[in-house]
Amino acid sequence: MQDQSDDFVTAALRRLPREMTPPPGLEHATVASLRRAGLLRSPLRAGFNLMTWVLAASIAGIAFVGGSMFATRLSAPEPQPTYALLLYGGSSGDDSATHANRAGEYGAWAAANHASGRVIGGEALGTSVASLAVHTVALGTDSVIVDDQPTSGSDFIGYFLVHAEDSDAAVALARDCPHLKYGGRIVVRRVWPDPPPSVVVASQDTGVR
Amino acid sequence: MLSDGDADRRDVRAVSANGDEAAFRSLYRRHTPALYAFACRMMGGESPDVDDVVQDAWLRAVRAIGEFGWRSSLRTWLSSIVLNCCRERWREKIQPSSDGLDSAAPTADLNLRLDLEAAVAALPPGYRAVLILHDVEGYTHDEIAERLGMQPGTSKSQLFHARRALRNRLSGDAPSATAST
Repeated sequence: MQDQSDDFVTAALRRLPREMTPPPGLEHATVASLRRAGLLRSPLRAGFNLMTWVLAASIAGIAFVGGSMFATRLSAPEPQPTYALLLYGGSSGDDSATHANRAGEYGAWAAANHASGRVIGGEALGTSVASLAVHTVALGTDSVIVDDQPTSGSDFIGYFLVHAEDSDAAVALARDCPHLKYGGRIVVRRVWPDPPPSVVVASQDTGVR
Repeated sequence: MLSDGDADRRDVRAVSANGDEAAFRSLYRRHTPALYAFACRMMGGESPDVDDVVQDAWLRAVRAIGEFGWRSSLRTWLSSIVLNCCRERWREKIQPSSDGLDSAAPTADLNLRLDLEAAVAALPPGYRAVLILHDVEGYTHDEIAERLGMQPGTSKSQLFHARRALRNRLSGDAPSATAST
C-alpha cells in the first residue's frame, strides 16, 4: 500500500530535527556517574603559574604567587587540611604605582608561604566594571539574572588555598596576609571534604570573629 | 579549527588514556543533542527514562572507548549503544504480545495532537525502532538488521507496517498497531 501519503510521511520524517537540547542537569549527572565509576578523573587546576599571576596582578592590581598546586598535592604524603582564604574588599582606585607595590607585597607573601608548603593555589577575580557584574543562574530555568550594580558579594576579589594544621593556623596565616593592610577582610573556610566548615573572619580592625 | 571527526579522535584518546573530564565534556556536548533526540524518539518522548538511557549509554561508551576501532563514525557507534540501552528498557517494561508487537503501546491523544512526533511516539517499539532508524536516521535495512538482530527482509516488512500504522494515526484512523508482520 505504498502511495503518495507514504512519500509525504517519509519526507516529513526526514525533516524532523536531528538534535534536541538535553536537560540542563544531565551533563552533570552523567559526569558524576562516570566519576563514581572511576572512569573520569576530576579536573585538577592547572595550578598557579607565577607568570600568570603576576600578569593577573598587573591587570587587577593584586598579585597571588605560588607554585604548582598539583605538584604540591601529589608530593605531600599526609597533606594537612586545606583552607580557603576568601579575600573581600580592600582599597580600590589605587594608582598604578600603588598597584605595583601592592602586587609585589601579595606576591612576596604568597611566594614565601608557598616555599614553606602553606600556600598551594589561588585566583584573583576581575575588578573591572564589567567583571563585577553578577550572573545568577538557576537550574531548570532559562533565565540568567545579571546584576550590573551588584552590592552583596561584589567585593569578593579572590582567594588563596592554603594548607594549615587547624583553623587557628589558617587564621594566623590570614592575619599575616597583606590584604588586611589595604583595608580588606579575609574569610577563612575549611575546604570540603573536610568536616563541616567553620567560618571565621580576619580583618585588621576587628580581629578574628 | 578541528573538524568534528578530528576533535572526536583527540577527545577519545584523552578520555581513553587519562579519563580526561574536559575531553569527555567536549564529546558529551558534541554528541548528546543528537543522541538525546534519538533516545527520545526511541522511548516515545521525553521522560526520566530517556535521561537514564543517555546516561547509561555514556557510561558504557566510556567503559569501552579504548576498544573503539573507528570502523564507523563515533556518532554511529554511540547511537548503537543508545539503541541497545533503549531495547533493554523496553524488555524490562514491556511483555511483548505473541506477534512480537507491543499491545500496550502508548496512545497519543491524536484528536488534540496530530503531530508527527506524537504519532511516532505512539507506535509500538518494534515499529518505532525500524521507522526511526530508516526514515529519520538514514540507516539501510542491512544496518538495521544487524543492529536489531533480524533479517533485512524483516526490517523492510516492519518499515512497511510502521509507515502504514503511522499514516493511520496521522489520518485519525484507529491504530493498527496490532497488525501482524
